[in-house]
Amino acid sequence: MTENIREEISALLDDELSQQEMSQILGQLNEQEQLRGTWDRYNLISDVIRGEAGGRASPSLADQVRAQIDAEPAILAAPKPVNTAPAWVRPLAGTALAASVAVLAVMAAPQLLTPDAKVSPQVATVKIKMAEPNYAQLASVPSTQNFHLANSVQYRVRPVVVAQPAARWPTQYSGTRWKNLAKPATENRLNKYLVDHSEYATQAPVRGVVPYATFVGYDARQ
Amino acid sequence: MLLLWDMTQGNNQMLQSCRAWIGCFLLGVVPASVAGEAEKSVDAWLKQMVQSVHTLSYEGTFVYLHNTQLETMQIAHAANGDQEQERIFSLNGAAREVIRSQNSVICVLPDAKSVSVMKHRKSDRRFPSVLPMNISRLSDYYELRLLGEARIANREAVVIGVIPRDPLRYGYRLFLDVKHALPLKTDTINEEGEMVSQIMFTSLRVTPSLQTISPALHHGKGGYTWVHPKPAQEISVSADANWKFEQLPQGFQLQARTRRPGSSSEKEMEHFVFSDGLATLSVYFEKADDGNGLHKASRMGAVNAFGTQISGYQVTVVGEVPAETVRTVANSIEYSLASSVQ
Repeated sequence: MTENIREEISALLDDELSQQEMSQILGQLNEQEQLRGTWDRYNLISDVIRGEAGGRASPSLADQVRAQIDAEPAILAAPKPVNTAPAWVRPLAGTALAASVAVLAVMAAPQLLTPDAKVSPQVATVKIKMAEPNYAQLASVPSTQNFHLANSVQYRVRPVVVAQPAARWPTQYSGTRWKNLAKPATENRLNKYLVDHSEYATQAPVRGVVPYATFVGYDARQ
Repeated sequence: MLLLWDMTQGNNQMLQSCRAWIGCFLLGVVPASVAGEAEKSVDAWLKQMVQSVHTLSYEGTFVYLHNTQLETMQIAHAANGDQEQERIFSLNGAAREVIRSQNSVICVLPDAKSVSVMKHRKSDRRFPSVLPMNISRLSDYYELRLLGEARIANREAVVIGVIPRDPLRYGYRLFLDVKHALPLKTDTINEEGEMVSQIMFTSLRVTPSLQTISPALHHGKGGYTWVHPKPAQEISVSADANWKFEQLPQGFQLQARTRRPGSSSEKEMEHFVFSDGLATLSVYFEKADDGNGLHKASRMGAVNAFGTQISGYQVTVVGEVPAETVRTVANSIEYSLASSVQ
């Protein structure tokens, strides 16, 4: 496998390629089993060290890339009306909503308990902001109907408002990674360094339990 | 280069750094009712923490936040006389597991279907701390301060600030369990006063009955590849080296040095480890005969890296210190035949 292909695949995973370049690389990956295997193995160590969910490290890398490509038209397409948000948005938004509500419930509880007219709108505003990418779902939930009139305005603007955050959302989960690096070989080497380094960093006397947090990630390679 | 900055600039940065820190701490709790605990000095708290981490048996769950990345992990630590064992297990993503004991580190990687068993280089290596705890030395580079009290994982905690005296190292805010001095939460704070990473227990139990730890059984048995990486060769820290480190931050001393012989798959590598007693940074040397070395700054979580080429060698500095520190150290290294390191 040439360095060139490596870099292209890396760029692909980092969303830096044009649609046409993507298709080309995907084609090569699909056609050449050996190339795919080499790449998967190549990624394995660094993925493991990064503490990622194991997605890229699995042998189905090409499948994931293909899935990503399949999703591209939906992402690149012009904003659609509320009810036809791209399918991939829904689970993400749902999760975000659930999480933010749960956090809000804890964070905003003291305010909610205060019957202060000034407080409630603030809370509502936060809710709206958190839920922004998923107005469709919000609108269908009766309990959110008591949101203020402003909401209905936002519903109408929604295709504009939502399109931008949605377009910036990561299309795949990216875990702990080195910044500013698109070159897997360099990243891989840094990972090895980090492993060696950690063996000593974990021995620093005052760190207590601290250093082991990353340990699960990086002592994983070798 | 930071160390060469004129005094005005340097002071200014220090001032900003201090301001950021003070701002950070003012947000904390005013230590009113902590008076009783204050009788115990910060030094005593830290010493007890180090002691407890090694000599108590405990298990718990903690979250680890660095940048925007959040991980959940489970830890179990068993102390039995002078024997220690520890298991860390990732609760999200691949069910990775690391089991450490006095003489080995075992990594179980279900996603890679592999198990790595690494024997320690020295059988008498103390686990997990080989570096002597020296609070007085530490206080040359960090101000240690009792900041107040808090509640973490439903436990009472005292809050201790480990505040760097210069902007070349990170600061820490430790939340220690009042009862056992185990660190319930640790914030790593950069020179701007921003949090670089946070580790916080969501539950923690001290369990004296826990005396041995076995690997989790969910991995199944078959199909795993076993790997036995060869340890690198240790070199005396007082031995001559071909490198001079001209601008290490104050207090960073050479703690360890290793050489990994070249092989068909690996290049020969030299590794120098420096520490101020708290922060650690590593410097790596390899022949620069491919284009894969780092030649700029990079970062992962609280770890910064900077790479450059010196006299035909790829030199890479990696550590849990600010970006400016790894850059300064890397750029100040000189090739120098058979000289003492510091």
